[in-house]
Amino acid sequence: MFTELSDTNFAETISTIETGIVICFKKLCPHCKNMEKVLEKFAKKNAGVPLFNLDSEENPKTMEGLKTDRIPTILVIKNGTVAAQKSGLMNPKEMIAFYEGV
Amino acid sequence: MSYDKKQIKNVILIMLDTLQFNYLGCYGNEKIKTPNIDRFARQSVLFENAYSEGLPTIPVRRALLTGRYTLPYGGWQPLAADDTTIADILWGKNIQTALVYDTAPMRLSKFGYSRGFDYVDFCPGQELDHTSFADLPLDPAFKPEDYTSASMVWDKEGNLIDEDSQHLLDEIGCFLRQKQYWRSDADSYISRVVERSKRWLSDHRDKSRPFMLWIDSFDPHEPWDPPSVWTGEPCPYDPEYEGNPILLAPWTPVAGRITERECEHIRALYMEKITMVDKWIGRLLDSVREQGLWDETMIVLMSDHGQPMGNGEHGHGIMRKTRPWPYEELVHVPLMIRIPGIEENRRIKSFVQNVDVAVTILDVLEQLDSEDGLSDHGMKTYGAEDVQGNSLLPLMRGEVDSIRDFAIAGYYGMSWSIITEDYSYIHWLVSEEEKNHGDILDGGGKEMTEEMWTCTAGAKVEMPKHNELYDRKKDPFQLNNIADEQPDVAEKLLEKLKLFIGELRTT
Repeated sequence: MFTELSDTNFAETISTIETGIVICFKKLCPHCKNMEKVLEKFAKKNAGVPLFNLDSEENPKTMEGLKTDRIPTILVIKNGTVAAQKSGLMNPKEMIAFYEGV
Repeated sequence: MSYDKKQIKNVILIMLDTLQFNYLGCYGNEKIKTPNIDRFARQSVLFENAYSEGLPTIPVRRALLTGRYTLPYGGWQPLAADDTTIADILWGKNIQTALVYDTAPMRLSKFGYSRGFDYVDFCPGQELDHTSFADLPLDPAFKPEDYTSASMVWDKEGNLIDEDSQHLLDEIGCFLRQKQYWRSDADSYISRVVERSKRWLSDHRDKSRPFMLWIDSFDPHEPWDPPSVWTGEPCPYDPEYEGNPILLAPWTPVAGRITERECEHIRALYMEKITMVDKWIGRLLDSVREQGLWDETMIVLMSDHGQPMGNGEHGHGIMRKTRPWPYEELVHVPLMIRIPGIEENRRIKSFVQNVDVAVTILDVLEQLDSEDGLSDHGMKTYGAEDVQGNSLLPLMRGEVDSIRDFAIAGYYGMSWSIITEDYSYIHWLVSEEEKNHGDILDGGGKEMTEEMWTCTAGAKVEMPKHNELYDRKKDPFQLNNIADEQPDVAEKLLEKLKLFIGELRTT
């Protein structure tokens, strides 16, 4: 369900995406696991929106560029750029509102 | 008679506030007389490991009305417009709803916990709206200081100990203004709630329609005012006591303020009050039988929480809910459910939570699959889409042995606890200073911050030093903290707790 991104391909991949979602996560982070479930529910209602993930511990350069060290952080990608980002938990309704509000 | 959903037309929920589970015969107490509740337990399915999640009174009502957890979302606050209650779901359906109550927190201005019930009958006077009677003249023979302990109120020089001292005397004065006219336990709050409930059942309801009746009795909550206090006779559970009856104690820790002997007497008065509540619940259940409703009515009998009542296992050093401490004596609750056709006199060991009760009621009323929608006139209607609890029917019918392998409890913004078969663990969201000195309602104004739901790269699970771990089999009342001895267990439980509460936050 998630296409993995890294410091090496993050910028290049993002620049090619018209619309998508990225979750910055950490292995063993309980909040990230919960947020992944929310994104799975989001995907069912938004089948055309690709999902990506980025391991925050293995990709510090990208995290530095995003100016956050907190995870989970959700990025909404629109027209090849990070149009919005938010750290913390959201329920499916909040996630859809966040995505549609950009 | 075998279970048939179609045969269950009605629901009666009996909430008895502040009824500690282990003060009932059916939960193993051999001293306190509760023959009517014990008999009801034999006619029901009894849940041995029922826990309330968010404490105290108000969050429990919110969870019971909505079937949703409160601990990740909010504490002592009004019912929100977004909350969908059982009464909201039953609107426009052929089930009449009624609420008979004297639980004053539910009646707080703008709190709205009676929203959506067809019939509402509130009996004033209990704690929080006791001031309703502050202007009544008081017979000079009744003095507030005669209904508490002098050493709880005044220091050795005869000065009031603190602001709470005057507040305590004023509150006792309000209760005395009501109770100066009491002649027997038929004047008690529980009798009024029971009599009004019986009257609704016999005179007011539409007997051609099914119903859900919610009876919310604040008794046996304090004031500790059982019959012996009014008759002047010795308390049957403490006949040797020679001091004043203690109608109320100060809202403080026990040390230096309430003696061990006084704690013991307060517990005896509480026992006597429970016996009185039991008598009136017996009359209520008799009335249900006499009116021919016994075989077509689901009956739930439960409490919202217990009560800290002194030192050690009785209350960890506090009297009343003075601190946001989610210990066993507070969070473990009695719960028994009778559904005609389901085998009686059974005891369930599985963990269950108060949020499961609403879901079970909706299941029995065949509303669990209902969805939000619009009426034919375009009015919004609401279904059970948002519930988070589990129906207890599969457990009660013996189809499964367990529906949860742990329970959670706590005070919003202040404490989270996880209870498993082997351990109980308490995670403090506040400093040790706030834990030991904060009020139970302080969490109500707290925001669940971004930091609470996130972590940083490279960071391990951060466990506050004042977290607590207990061996639940050897130490069920949580007196010997073993968090330092078993940090791995504590860390795993914290991770499990965070995962679960985070999951609730995202649903």
